[in-house]
Amino acid sequence: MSRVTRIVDPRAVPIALGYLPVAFAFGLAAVSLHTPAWFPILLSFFVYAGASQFAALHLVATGSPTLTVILAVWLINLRMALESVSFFRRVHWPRPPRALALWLTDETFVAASLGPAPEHWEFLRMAWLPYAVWVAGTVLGALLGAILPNLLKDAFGISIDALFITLLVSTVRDNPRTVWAALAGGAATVLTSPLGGWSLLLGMVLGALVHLAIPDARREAQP
Amino acid sequence: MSSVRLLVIVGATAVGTALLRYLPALFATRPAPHRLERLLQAVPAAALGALLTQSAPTALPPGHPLTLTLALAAALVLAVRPGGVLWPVAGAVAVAATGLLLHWT
Repeated sequence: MSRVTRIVDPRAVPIALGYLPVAFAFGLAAVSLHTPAWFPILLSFFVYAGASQFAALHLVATGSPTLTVILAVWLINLRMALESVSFFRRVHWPRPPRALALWLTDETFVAASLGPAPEHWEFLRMAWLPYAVWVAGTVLGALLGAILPNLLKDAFGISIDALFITLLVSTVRDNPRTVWAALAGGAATVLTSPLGGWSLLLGMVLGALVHLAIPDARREAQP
Repeated sequence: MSSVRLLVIVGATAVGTALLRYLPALFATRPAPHRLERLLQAVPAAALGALLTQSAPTALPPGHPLTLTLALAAALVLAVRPGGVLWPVAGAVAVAATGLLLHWT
């Protein structure tokens, strides 16, 4: 093992490279939506969950109630509990290093789930670089956002919607039946729009419940 | 935008997300019930559907009715291509470039 690979697991490098432009776009979008620069930086530092950070940014910018923003982030990040359950059923770490769960993301979860179950120091070598790059990219985007022309910042504002679409397509591609959850979530949001900021939360919950109500054909086909 | 409100949002979302990650690490001894697992799988898609429905009308810049259409098309084309996390990034950059172009023209 070389000196570099003793510090960084090679699997961390493509994850970090992928995070950098997304984090930069997040910092830039936040400033273009007129939030203070510290807001996206603190979100990246303490929350470290891409899709939910973009959602929080969008909801803050559109004036949604504070409770709606918080609950929406929790709902979007519910899947992390599932990933954490799956991951920690494989590994057998002592209790203190289990705090590394805070650096479990969709990508590090997938990378760490391939091959034999990692020891905690192996996971640490894989997880610290993507986290550092995510925070650094956000700082860079937020700081540069203050000096970039408004024209460019306006253009980047659209990138949030694009990211929502790309994340949705990726989700549906992994699990095609979730398209019903997305459609039901969208429809429920429109139908409950007279309720203001709460319509988003209702859309999420109703969309997920519709998905649950649709029979799972694969499971029923099992003997 | 009130700084206190933003700090409350950061604090509450950080604590909630940390608990979602950390509590299963302490107590993960049994698999989640199947129905709960399916519900959790569907939440991100439902959330994204709801977010898009809410944000799409406001994303349409006045005077540039093609922006959103082109943005959606570019994002979709790039998203369906295979290949990990870089494609969503490429989609976002392409969309930003489209938006920039339409603002200029």
